[in-house]
Amino acid sequence: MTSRPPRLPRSVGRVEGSPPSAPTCVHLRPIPMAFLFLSYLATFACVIRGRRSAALAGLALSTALSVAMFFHHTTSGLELNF
Amino acid sequence: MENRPLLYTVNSACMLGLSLVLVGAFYFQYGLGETPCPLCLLQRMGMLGVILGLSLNTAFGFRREHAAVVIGAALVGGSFSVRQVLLHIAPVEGEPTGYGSAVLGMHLYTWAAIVFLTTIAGTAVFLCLIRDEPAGTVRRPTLFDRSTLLFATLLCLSNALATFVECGAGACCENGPCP
Repeated sequence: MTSRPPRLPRSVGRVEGSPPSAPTCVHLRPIPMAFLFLSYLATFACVIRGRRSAALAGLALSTALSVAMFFHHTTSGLELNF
Repeated sequence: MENRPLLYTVNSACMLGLSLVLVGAFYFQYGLGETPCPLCLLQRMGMLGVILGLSLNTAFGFRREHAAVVIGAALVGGSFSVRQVLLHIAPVEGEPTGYGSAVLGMHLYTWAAIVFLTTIAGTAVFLCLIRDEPAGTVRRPTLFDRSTLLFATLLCLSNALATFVECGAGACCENGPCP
């Protein structure tokens, strides 16, 4: 008979009662999806205002955050198979 | 100006085409009631990234760095699409094939992968036709250029609001916020 995994504090980003993941996985705290769209919106604003360097930096940051959210999606203990 | 105005018009037309793809996604969300999943939202962000790369040409003139940005955004978005294609590539007996409705026999994530691949191919063609504008070039976007950029910006805002309504201030799971 297997024992239930210990409950971890919410600060590590786990959902209570979720199945344990690989012991070496460090779960990223999920980034709010709406916030990701807002980062793209800020980049659009930089383009409209004629700030090329800020726009390139904003797009790089937005893309990096999207990739981070993608990795959270693939490694999450939630069954996100869609 | 080193480049013909027609190239800038084609650039803006590509931005408009990608924006219309996002409008189609809104039709599926609100017209057919199919709420986007997290991967679907990430693919929308990939499209916005490509549109942003093209908008750099509109605002600052053609540069090779802008083409690299477009290709990078298309590769990222294409990775999200291919992931979703592979998740549903093996049909499960007794369950509907794929995720969501199909258009002309293919699901939206498959069409998204095709769009991203086409973007990369189109950028390769553009790289053969354009020349780098000299540093400090001031370009006046046409009415069509400004309209497509504004339309894309409003689409980005709409997506942010729609996602906030769907998932609140947290992460998204299927059909709403995560439990």
